Amino acid sequence: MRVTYPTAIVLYALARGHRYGFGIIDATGLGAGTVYPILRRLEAEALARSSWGPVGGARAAGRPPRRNYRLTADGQEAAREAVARYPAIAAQFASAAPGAADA
Amino acid sequence: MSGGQGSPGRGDLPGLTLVRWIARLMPAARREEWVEEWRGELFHAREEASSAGESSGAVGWRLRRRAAGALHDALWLRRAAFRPPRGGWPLRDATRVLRRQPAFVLMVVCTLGLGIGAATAIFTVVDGLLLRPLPFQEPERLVRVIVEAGDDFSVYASRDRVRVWRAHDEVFEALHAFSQRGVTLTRPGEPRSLRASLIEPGALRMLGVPPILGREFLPEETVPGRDRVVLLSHDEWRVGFGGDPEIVGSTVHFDDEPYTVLGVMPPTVRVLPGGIPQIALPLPDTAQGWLMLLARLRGTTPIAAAQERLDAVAATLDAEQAGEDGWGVRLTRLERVLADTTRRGLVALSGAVALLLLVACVNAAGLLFVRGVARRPELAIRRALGASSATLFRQSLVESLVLSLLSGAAGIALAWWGVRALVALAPDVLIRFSYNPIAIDARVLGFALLLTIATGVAFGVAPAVRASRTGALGVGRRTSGGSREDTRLRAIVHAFQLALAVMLLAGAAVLGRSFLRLTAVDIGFDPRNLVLLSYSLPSFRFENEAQRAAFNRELDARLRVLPGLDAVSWSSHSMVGRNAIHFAEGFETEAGISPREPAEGPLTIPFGSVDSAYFRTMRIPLLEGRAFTEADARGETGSVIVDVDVARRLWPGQRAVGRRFRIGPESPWLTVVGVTADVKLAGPDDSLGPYALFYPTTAARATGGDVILRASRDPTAIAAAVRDVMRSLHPELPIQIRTATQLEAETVELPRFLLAIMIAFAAIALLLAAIGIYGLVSFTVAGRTREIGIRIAIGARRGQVVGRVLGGGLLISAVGLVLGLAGAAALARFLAGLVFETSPLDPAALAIVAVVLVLASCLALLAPARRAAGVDPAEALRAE
Repeated sequence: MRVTYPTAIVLYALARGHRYGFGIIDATGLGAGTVYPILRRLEAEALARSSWGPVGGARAAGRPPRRNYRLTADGQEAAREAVARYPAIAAQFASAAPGAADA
Repeated sequence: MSGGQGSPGRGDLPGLTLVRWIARLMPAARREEWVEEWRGELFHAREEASSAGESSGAVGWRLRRRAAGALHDALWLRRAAFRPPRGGWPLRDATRVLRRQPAFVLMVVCTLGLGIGAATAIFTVVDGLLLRPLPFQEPERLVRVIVEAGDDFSVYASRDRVRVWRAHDEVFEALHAFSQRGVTLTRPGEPRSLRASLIEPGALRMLGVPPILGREFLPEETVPGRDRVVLLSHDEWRVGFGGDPEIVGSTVHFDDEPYTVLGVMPPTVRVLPGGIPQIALPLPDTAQGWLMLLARLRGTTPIAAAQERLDAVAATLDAEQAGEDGWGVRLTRLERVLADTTRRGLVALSGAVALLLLVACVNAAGLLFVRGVARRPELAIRRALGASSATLFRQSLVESLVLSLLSGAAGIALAWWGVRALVALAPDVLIRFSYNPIAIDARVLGFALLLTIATGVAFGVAPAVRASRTGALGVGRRTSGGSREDTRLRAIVHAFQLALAVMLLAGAAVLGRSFLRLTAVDIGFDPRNLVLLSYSLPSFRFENEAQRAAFNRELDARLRVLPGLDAVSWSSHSMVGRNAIHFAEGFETEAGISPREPAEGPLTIPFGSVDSAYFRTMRIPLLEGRAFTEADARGETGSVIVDVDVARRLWPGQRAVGRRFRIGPESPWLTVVGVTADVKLAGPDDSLGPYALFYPTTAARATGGDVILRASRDPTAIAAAVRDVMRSLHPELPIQIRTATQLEAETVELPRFLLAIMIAFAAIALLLAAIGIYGLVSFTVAGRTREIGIRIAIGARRGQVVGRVLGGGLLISAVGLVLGLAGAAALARFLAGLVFETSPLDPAALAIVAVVLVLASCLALLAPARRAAGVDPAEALRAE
């Protein structure tokens, strides 16, 4: 597949442990209109897969469940290639907080 | 549901309304889940912000802005939902695949474009001439009215007949007379002679073709004094007057008289009864003589019923008033006038171009096959990744359709040019009298589109089937030469391509032989330095025989004093070719023989009237008897001269001079006073009968027709001098001056045209086939590199390798040749009416085809064979 710069950033964000759409938006500074289509595409091409968080627990706490995204093995490979191709990404993330923020 | 707009309280999440609204774009099945995902994110984001102490207004604003991004998300998902699950978008993928192979695309587009272009161009001509309805309103209700004239019927009617039949409006909705004359446009610009149709008020309305500018003639504009009005034809307006939109009302001068332009006729008026008008003038009330009648039947009256009704009327009309002409009429549907040979020629051309298109299709299919084999690893990977065979089939077919559409575009461009070339080169008999303009229009474009799609399917289906049968097992296997089945397929394509080319070659060769025979025919006279002046004296200017005789005598006297003339002869319609259109039918000799053979039908004899100098001028040898004398011309003796064909037919083995015969039981007896050598009066092909019969005439008696002048040297100088003489005598008279060589060439212009096109098509087909074979065999050789390498390694000589490749290829070519000859035999009957003294299966012609084919095959095979011989065994074995 074609890996554009924004795709590479999203791949890297996922590899760094960001798992939620808004979390990736916050971490990368990309717009929601950019991040979500990329996530859809990664999922369609089996580089990422998504699941719903603990539904019962969230409901009990009065909160709606969140959908989280993880890289597949192919996706991790793609993320490595993306960093190799766009080394600037890693530098950009070095200052950002790790994924724990939105865990 | 006011959450998005209201304050960000617990119940209404900022941005959620917007998300719900956008959700309408989502496929229904995923809508609920999608909204849930966004709600979860928005909710979490708000919780986080409020725990961080952010103001609710700022949070609301930020979340709403973020929710707007859901639009992109939804749109992306919506588009993805339309995407076929596997195999991608066929069209997008096809263009992407093709863009990577420009050379392949170019080859296919050139091949198919040529085929589609040629087919479209020929269709344009055939459609205009044969298929399309006449460009008038309800043409099936238009009839020609042919009137009784003596013992026969004539297309020319007199004015009183027009009046009588026009009165029968229970049969005719309208009936109009047409005539024509030549005029000279004297202003504006250089003087030019123009053909004018003379039409009556309402004639264009009857045809249903009103002027596109201005109006047609009014009844009062047929009266002398008010009749200085003119309608321009569309072509004349466009070319002669630059398409001036303000032309109506302006003044032009014909024969130095001012005329007011009333309007412009539509482009559909190309042919009117009697001629091809450049302008139309009102038919004068007083016009006599050669009027042609055209009528529109009332309502739905069938022609037969109308004919019956008119027959009944004719029986009640006063026989005395009618004179010897009678009152009978015949109605015939207004049809395009196409000679039988023209029709056959068009059919043959259509067949030829269909074959050419087929060659192009097979060629393209061959290219696709070769490429298909090369692509097999890619297809195998796609198959392994889960593409169904239907997906691969569809993908392959869509690629073919994209290719054919590109070719169709190229073909239409080629056809646009080709139609112009055809119209420019086609003989007059083919194009000039076409009611419909021969040009590319929506109808032709529709045909081209259909053809293009059909072509794409035709050459794409077989390779698509091959592609769909690709298994996943081939992944990683590199078989550049393909399987045994591929080799067989290539052989079939190779043979089939050649067979088609052979059929076209055979057609061209047979037509070529026929043409050579036709032009080698001795037409019976010496055409060198002969000039023919043709004119006719219009009866409204030359009302009686005395006036005509005076004019002809004066002309004769002026012609005879021209320098550089050897002989002058007067005749009517007695030159070779299309002037010889008069036939006598039904013969009787004194012995009572009426020679008819059941197979031949009645004997028809082309005849003409000639003066005493004719045979000398034409250099036609008299075998027996004498030429005409002045006494013969006075009609006292009933003398005639026949050619040797007639003499042999009527009096085989006997002397013909002094014998008598007559044409029909009521005709006077005619005495043969001379017998000439064989004269091909009706053209070299004898299609109208081999015979010739001459009646006597003189300049004084001729009503126009042909004046034959033999120049002692350059006939073009004489032609110019003759034109000057005619202009000084009667500038308005339409004349035609041609050399006999031109005329002779005209008699074979249709065969020449057909031959030229056939040769062109056959050459293209052969070239395509040769290129195709070259490609196929090269590919086979490339695939067998390893095998050839082994052969060479174990001691095969280079010559043996070359022989093997050549031999294998030629064997397939031979199969193609045999198939093609069989095909040519099957199609021979389409050529039967077009060839002259040549069998459609002429052995010599077919032998030439065989030789040409073998040569072409050798040429195509040589390069791959040499390449095979040059295989380095070590290299070949390493490469695999």
